[in-house]
Amino acid sequence: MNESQTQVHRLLAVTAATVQTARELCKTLAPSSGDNMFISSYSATGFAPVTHYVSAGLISKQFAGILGNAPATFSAYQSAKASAKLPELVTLAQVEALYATAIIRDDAFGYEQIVLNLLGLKPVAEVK
Amino acid sequence: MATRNGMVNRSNQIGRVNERKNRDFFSNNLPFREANGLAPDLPLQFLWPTGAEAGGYWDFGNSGYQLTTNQVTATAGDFRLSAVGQTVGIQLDRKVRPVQHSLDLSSRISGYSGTSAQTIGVNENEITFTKAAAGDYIAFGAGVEFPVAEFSRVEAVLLIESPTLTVNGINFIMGNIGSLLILSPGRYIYTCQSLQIVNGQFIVQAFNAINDVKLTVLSLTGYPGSHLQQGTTTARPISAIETVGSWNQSVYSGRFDGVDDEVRTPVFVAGSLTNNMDVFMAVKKTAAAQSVLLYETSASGTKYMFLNQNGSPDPVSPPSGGAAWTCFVDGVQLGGVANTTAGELYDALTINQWHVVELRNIDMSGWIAVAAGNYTAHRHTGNIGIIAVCPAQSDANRTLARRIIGAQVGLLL
Repeated sequence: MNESQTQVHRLLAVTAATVQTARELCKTLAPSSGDNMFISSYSATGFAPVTHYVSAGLISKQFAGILGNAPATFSAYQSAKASAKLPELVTLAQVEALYATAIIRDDAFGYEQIVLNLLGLKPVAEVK
Repeated sequence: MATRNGMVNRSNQIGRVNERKNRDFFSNNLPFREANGLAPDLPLQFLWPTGAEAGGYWDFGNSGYQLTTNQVTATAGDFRLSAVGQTVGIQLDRKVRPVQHSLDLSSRISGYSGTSAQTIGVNENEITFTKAAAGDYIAFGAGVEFPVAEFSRVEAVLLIESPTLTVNGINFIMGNIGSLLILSPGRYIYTCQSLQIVNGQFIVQAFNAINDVKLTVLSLTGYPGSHLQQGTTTARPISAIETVGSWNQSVYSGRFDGVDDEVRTPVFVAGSLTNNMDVFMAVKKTAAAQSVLLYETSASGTKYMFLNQNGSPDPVSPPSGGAAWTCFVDGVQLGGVANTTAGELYDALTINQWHVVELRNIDMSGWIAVAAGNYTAHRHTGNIGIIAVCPAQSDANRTLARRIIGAQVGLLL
């Protein structure tokens, strides 16, 4: 089975207030390929302050299946942390807060810029 | 009217002949490349005659030099692209020629861990596991046989023999990446692609308990160079195909989403690139947004190229040492004698059309990496074909390079 059969496209936009939770979840659930997500900064004006951080691309179907589902995401997170024998750094409440304000689109492949424009988000010049 | 129609018809005929000539000229199996000592799929290597010259040669149009991931942990392996639509985790630098390593493994054991079950076979390129526990390994190299760059890759062709294997599903790891799954007793030829040499060594390690497996290394090839990489899945460009031109040429490229996609080389030593470089890129913008096409680090502010921005009077690349950058698009010089402006380049890069952009005699001596796709707030939305960074060339070489790079994306230059 090749990669294109096991992955699907998602565009994810999370708020600046919850981006640390999103980064921690991605890094934990996909240690080698989920690190350094949500580094592209956006706002309604294209100027600071940054209101959203965005990632767009192919992710595993397994990962996509739990997106938006806070209990399932947190459960997977707990299992990954337990396997790695590492302490948990986010709570279920933080995951729920993340999803409450997150934007998850499965129809943006090839139209990322258009979707972001429709969402009213413009890139912000910010040193990473 | 008849004359006019006749002229149109002749013009069309000439166009078709030229297209056919061009297609034949750049197809594989052509005598031109062989006459020039070039491998059929490496047409640009004349820009680096020995392979040791400064620069890099990355081709998003050739899946044979692209890998889907760049993971450095031993999980699911690391493979070459097998289909359009897959992500590009590594784009190999094709400037440097592959290196065939010696197969004398016995003299290069640099580490060992385990139950004394692993041995080097009678022949120097054999490794035998009689009874190994999970995690047992033999390490080779220690910088002796593999004095290659930190991010070099190797490819091994292996003969695996397990005549007495009784339990299916036993596997082990060759190198740091790529587990080999042995499903039944027998003899197998396995091409283990893109193993990563770390600190000048590679490892053969038992992934599960192994009983009586002999592995013979038939060949071991290194791919030195400075490879464009991306570890984060969502930030990888995606391999794309499109049909262009009146002869329906299939054009392969890397598609960048303009959100977070980026590829970059590992950091290298300043001075690796010189103060007199030429840069060629095949690019297609699919959005009108401003962008930077090549840079050292995102938001460096000083080390970037091909800034294109509507109406901007800024130069396409920051001037250095008083030099005035002049940019070429599809072989045509933009602007006057002074620096080409970002506005001029923006106007020249028509949306949804391929172009070959070119900067000459650029000072890149201070650069410590090369990256594309995600210069902050100037992200590239669109496609990239070949990127060539090479020592300054003769005009004849530039013309040839431009034609080859353009032909790959359907341009007659």
